[in-house]
Amino acid sequence: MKIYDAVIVGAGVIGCAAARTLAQTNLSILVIEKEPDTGFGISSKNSGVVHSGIHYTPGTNRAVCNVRGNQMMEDLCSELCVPFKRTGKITVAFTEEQTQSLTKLLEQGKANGVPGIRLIDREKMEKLQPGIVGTTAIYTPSTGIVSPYELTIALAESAYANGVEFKFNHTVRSIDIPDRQKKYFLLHTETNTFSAKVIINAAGLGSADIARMAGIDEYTLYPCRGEYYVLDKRLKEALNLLIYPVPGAHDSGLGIHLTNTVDGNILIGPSNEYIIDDEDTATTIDIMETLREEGHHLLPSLSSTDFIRSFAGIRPKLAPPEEGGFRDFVIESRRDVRGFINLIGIESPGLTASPAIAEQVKELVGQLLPLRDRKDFIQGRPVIHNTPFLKKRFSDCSHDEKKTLISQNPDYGSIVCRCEEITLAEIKTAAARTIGPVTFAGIKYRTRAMMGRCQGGFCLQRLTEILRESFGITVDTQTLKGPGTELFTGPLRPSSCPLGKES
Amino acid sequence: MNLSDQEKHIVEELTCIVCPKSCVLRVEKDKISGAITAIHNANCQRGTAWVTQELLHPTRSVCSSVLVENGTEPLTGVRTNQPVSRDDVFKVMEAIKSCRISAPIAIGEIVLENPGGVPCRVIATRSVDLTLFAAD
Amino acid sequence: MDKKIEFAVAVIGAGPAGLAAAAGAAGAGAKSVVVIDRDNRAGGILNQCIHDGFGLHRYNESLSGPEYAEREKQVLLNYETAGKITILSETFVQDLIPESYGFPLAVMSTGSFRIIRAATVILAMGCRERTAGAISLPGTRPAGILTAGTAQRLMNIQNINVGRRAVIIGSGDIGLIMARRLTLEGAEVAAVTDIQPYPGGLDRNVRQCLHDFNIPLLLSTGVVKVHGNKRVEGITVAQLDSKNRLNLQTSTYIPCDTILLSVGLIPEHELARSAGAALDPATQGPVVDQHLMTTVPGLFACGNVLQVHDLVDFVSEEAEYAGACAAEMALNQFRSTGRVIQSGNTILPIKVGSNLRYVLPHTISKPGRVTLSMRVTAPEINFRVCVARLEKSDNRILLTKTFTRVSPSEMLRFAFNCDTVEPLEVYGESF
Repeated sequence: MKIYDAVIVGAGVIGCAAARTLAQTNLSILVIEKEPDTGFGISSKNSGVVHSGIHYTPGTNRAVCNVRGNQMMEDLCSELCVPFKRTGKITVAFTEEQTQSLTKLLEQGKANGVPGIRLIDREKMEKLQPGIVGTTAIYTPSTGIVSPYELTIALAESAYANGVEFKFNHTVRSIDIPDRQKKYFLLHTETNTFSAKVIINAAGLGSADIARMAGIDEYTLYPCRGEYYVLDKRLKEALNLLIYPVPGAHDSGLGIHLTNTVDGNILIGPSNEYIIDDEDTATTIDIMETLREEGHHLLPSLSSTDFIRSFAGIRPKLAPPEEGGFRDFVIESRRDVRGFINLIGIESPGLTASPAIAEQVKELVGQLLPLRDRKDFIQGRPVIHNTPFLKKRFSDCSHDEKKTLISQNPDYGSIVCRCEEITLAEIKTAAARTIGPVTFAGIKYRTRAMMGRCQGGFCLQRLTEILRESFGITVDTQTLKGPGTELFTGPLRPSSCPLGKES
Repeated sequence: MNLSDQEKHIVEELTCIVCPKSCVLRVEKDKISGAITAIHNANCQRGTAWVTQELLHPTRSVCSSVLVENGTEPLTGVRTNQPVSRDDVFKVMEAIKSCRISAPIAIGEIVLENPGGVPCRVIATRSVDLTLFAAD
Repeated sequence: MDKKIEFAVAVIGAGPAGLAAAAGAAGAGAKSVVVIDRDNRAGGILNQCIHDGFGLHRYNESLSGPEYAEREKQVLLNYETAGKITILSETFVQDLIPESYGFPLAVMSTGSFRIIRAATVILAMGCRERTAGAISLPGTRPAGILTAGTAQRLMNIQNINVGRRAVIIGSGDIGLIMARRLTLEGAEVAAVTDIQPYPGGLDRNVRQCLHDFNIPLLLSTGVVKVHGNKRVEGITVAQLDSKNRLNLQTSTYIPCDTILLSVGLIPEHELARSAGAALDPATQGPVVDQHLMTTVPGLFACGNVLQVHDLVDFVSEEAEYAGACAAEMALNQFRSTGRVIQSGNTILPIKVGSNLRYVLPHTISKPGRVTLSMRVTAPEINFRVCVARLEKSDNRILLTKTFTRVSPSEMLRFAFNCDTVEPLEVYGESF
């Protein structure tokens, strides 16, 4: 059996960032993921905000990794061709109490080293976002937005191209820790067993369970759901930068806010609701109504037809409901279980912090195994499965650029998703570059097909054809997001029908 | 309506489907024999004829699709060339489901005669050309 | 850039509206008409509507969708042979930005991208279905949730079966038709629900698609939650109270593996909006005058992109007229002046009066025969529609049409001989 230097449990943004950072060294690495693709958990269900780092106590992992991650994000995204935009953010006070909190946030932000942070008055607020309500605010120019799924996918692709192995649709069921007889960890899934010198637990909502499998039972995660609305691109111009309210001391999130996405939609959300089942990503009537009201309040030009989709993400919170607020991220190398590295409770600002957490992981691994940096590390967004990455989206091209692209590759002339203007060339590229099995959700996150206002009404049937004809995926095995999510029940008329008419 | 009428008759309201006007016809039927005793609100003779048939011997066109071999599309649409008894709809469907034809198909082409023993023809409603590529 | 006008009329879309618009334009004398369609087969949505009931008005026959499309295509064939109509299939219009001299249209297809220029343009792109997101469907997002029209295409064109036990949300015509289609194929339709107290589709479809198969129609019923993380496992529905709020005490769980949505259609108005045409919030389609010209001179609209129809026969009729008007404008005004301006000097609005959700056209600019289409806000019996002068006076009513029954699911459509050009109001009332 192959013994991996490191096995990472979880292919979310944290696991993939760690994988990529470790891929720069001599280590052999395996990532085990229960879903069929990267980033299908919380990494794809959040605001996509690259936070500045004003909200967390100085010196904590949260604060340090947030500010450091924010610094690293722009270069990382530029190297990996991931959409990133430094929009800036206004945190607005509406009440006297909130105004006092602003001062505290300002000091905290300065202590954390947030660049350019300052208090702004009404006039400046109005200049940044005409029509904004509130009297005073903190402005953090370093806040940005990123495509959370693209980032996760890009990190995984980079890791994969540099030799990291991935096992999708594998759920870790138990872990044997090293003892006198054997020097290595054994990770058991339903069908396989993998050996590792080091385990990096980046299992998100499942990270407390994974720790427990290694005999570490001090962590409990409390799932806390956040519901969002996605708004039509028509409102693209309505929001210049991110606008947040000042959070209360015991709030479990940062309050319902408006967020631009790098794709031109606006998000409203998230709500905060502790729930029992950490897989319950259902949206609820009451919260959606609150979000709609809040949306109309924050964005008066909103019409009822602008709500194109709702979704929910779940925060893996270490703070129980009765405590509220935030506890610090757990980033630790266990002394009691040597070789076991825990990354637990990585909720917001985990996306922002991911590259910084990955650096810390590398340092912790370096204390356990000898590390040498590789000279042959492939930089940038690599070629995957002989398929190069398409740097520019067709929809972002000018007429002349489109003409050139179509003349180079005729598939660019065939539109598959008309709402988002995604071409056949882009769909084929996305499917070909997928590391694990190809799913509709995977295609969606890679290309934005089915994410527009018709939500797949037009392109779902074309995608079905493309996957069957170009990738040999039969209709009854096409899934939304892996086994159990088959989209269709098979052919309507199976080809075993007897011939009725002489040919 | 007097008391004895109520005892003897049942009244059913039907929305006429002959044309899109959708007249609501009130039909009185004998409670015991089921025979139609009166039709109200019928604005045309076709409506009267329809409601009589609909209550005594309802008929339906059957529309579905049939598997096509070597075609540019996997299916053609089909329908019965005339309405069949409503009770026979599933018999026709069974025959349609277990049938397969070869491209090319022209509109109006007869796909099945007397499907499932039901007196009618099943005709193609969508043309399908012969594909230039071999079937996989 | 080459500013040669290649086409008198460009029609975007080759569904029933596009086909009839092109025929209408060629019939009115246009010698160069181009029809641009994204599909590989003209006919649009008709190709997947394999049920019958089309053409009762236009052909006095009950045809299936593809047969109706074929009849319409036959009309075009002669013009095509004569070189008057060109059909570009599997071609997308990228954008449509009016210039002072005609419309440049960026069109693309596999391997090709080019600009074509037309004197006038007819929008005939039809409509799209409202989605789970648009109605804020609460609960999870598993596999097995489709719009009814997507399911129809998958089943009827692509030979793909979508599920075994379905609940259909919304009783629009496509939902009703799909309830029957699934049942005939051996699937079970557990229920059709609608938030309204009356069905959204035509009565004959309720009778033939639901009653025939004892499929329950749950009216005044909304969705509480979709269940299932992987594939749909069920749906909880509840009745709406008098304030249109869900009464959770009436919650019922219905097990199913498939949810089809038939919750309304929205005109594909994006090109109209990007071209700068004003939109009517009630129809979600462009604002048009009596010649079906939008507020952008030379840009026309017809069929479901203008207003969602329930009968294809009316789509064809409306589109033929739009085609003729566009051709007329291209042949006369455009040819002599090189530009298109709003028809007539005075553009007078038609006010939408009581009990009506919308009235088309939105404006009248000169005397003549006008076809009015409208929908009521709620079902009524013994109803009349009055066309009247806006100004209050004793003899303000110009035309009255009476109906024994009206319903929002059925468009009212009648001609009005407009011999006066002054502000009008169309309103409805029970009598």
